[in-house]
Amino acid sequence: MQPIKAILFEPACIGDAQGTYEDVEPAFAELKAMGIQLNTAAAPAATLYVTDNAEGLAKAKSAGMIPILLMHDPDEAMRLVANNPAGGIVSLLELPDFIRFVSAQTTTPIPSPLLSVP
Amino acid sequence: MKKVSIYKPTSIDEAMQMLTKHGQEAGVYAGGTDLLIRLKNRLTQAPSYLVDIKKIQNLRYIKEDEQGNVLIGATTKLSELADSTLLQQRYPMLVEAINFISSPELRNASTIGGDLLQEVWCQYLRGGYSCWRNGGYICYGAIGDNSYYHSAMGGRLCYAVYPGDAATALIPFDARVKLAGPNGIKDLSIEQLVPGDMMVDGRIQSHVVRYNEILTEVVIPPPKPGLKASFEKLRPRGVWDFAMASAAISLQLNGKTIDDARVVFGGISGKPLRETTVENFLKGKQLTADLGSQSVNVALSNAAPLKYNATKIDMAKGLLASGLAKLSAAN
Repeated sequence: MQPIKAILFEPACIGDAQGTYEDVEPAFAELKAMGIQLNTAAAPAATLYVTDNAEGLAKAKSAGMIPILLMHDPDEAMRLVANNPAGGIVSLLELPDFIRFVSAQTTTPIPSPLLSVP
Repeated sequence: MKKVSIYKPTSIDEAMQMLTKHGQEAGVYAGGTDLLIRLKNRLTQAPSYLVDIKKIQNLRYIKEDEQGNVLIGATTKLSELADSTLLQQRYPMLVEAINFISSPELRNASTIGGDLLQEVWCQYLRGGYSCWRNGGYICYGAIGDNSYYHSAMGGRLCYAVYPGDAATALIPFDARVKLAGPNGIKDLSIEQLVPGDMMVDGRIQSHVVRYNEILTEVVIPPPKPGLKASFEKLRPRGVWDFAMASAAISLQLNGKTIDDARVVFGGISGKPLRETTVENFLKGKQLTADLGSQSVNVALSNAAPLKYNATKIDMAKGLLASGLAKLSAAN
C-alpha cells in the first residue's frame, strides 16, 4: 500500500440519524494534524473526482463519483472528452464556480448569487 | 426548429408577467437575429415561450431629453441608429461602430437591446455542443479551436468572447441602460450590464439581466467638451463579421493635453474590456503621433491567450495604436 494522503468516508461511517459518532471529532483532528485530507461528503455520488487522465475517469465512474476532467493540455483534453467526463475545468480556480453553478441550477428559479467579477 | 409559443404583450407590465410566469423557459423576442438562430439550431438553452416586445409602444425611439442626454429605446433598429442625424452629430464614433455590425439586412432587423444582450457566438455552443451555456459542464472552446470566438484574457468556466460591438462603443461615452423589472427600474452602466460571465438564475450569461427583467432604454450623456473618439475593428471577412478584436477610444482633450480617457477592447474577452492601465497612462499626456506605440507597451499585460488565439492580443494592441494615431492626426 502507498502512503495514505486522503480518506473518503461513507456517511454511515461517521454518523447516523442521531448525529456524528463520538470518535469522529478527535480522530479527524488528529488525521488533519497529520496532513491527511479528509472527505466527509454525504455520499460518493456527491463527490467530485478531479483527474487529467483516462484511468482517473474510469476509476471515478467505478467508485460512483463524479468524474471531472482537468484540462491542462487542450489536445489531450479534447481526446479525453470522448470518455464522457461529467464536466471539465481549465484550472482548479474554477472549482468553486463549478460547484456554485451546479448548486444554483438545483435551486432555480430562486436567484443565485452572482459570480464575483474577475 | 424547436416548437415555441409566442406572446405579444402590449405593455412592459404584461411582458414581465409572462416572463415571470414561464421563468427560464421564456425569452424576450425583438429583432430575432440571435434568438431565432438559437431556436433554429435547436439549442437546449433556447426558450420555449417567446415574449415578443415589438408591439409595446414607446420602446422604439431616438430622442434628446432636457438634460441633453440622448435616449434610445431598446427595440430601436441598428439601422435607425446608423441613420440618426442626432447620433451622427453627437456621437459619430458610435454610428461608425454600428455600421460595422453585421450586414445592412441584419441591421434592419437587429435592435440595440438585442445587440447588447446577445448570446455568445462560440461555434461549439451554436453547434449544439453540451457546454456550460447549453446544459453541460465543459467548455469545448477552451480545448478546441479557439482562434476566433474565444477569450485571450482568461475565462471562468466559459471562455467565449462577448461579441457585441455596441457595448464596446457605448462605454467610452459613459452610457447607461434602464432595466424594467417587478421591483421597479434599475439603472446600470454598460459595464455593469455586461460584466462578463455571470451566473444569473442558474444560467451562465454575459449580462446581468434576470429572467423577468426587460432592457428598455439606453441613455447616453452629452459628450464632454473636447471629446474625440475612435472605433477600430478587425474581422476575418471584410464585409461583415464579428470582431477578432476591436478598440473604442475616447479622449477628453484640452488642446493637445489628454484630460481624461476611455479605452475599451472588444472581441478579446468575455466582456467589453476597459483597459484602465492605458487610460491612466494617457491622462495628462500630450496627444502626439507616437503616443500609440508608447501605449501599446502598457496595454493588456495580463493577457492569457488560449492555444490558438494569441494573435488577438497583437491585433488589439495594433488597433489601439491606430486609433490613437487617427485621433492625433485629426486633432
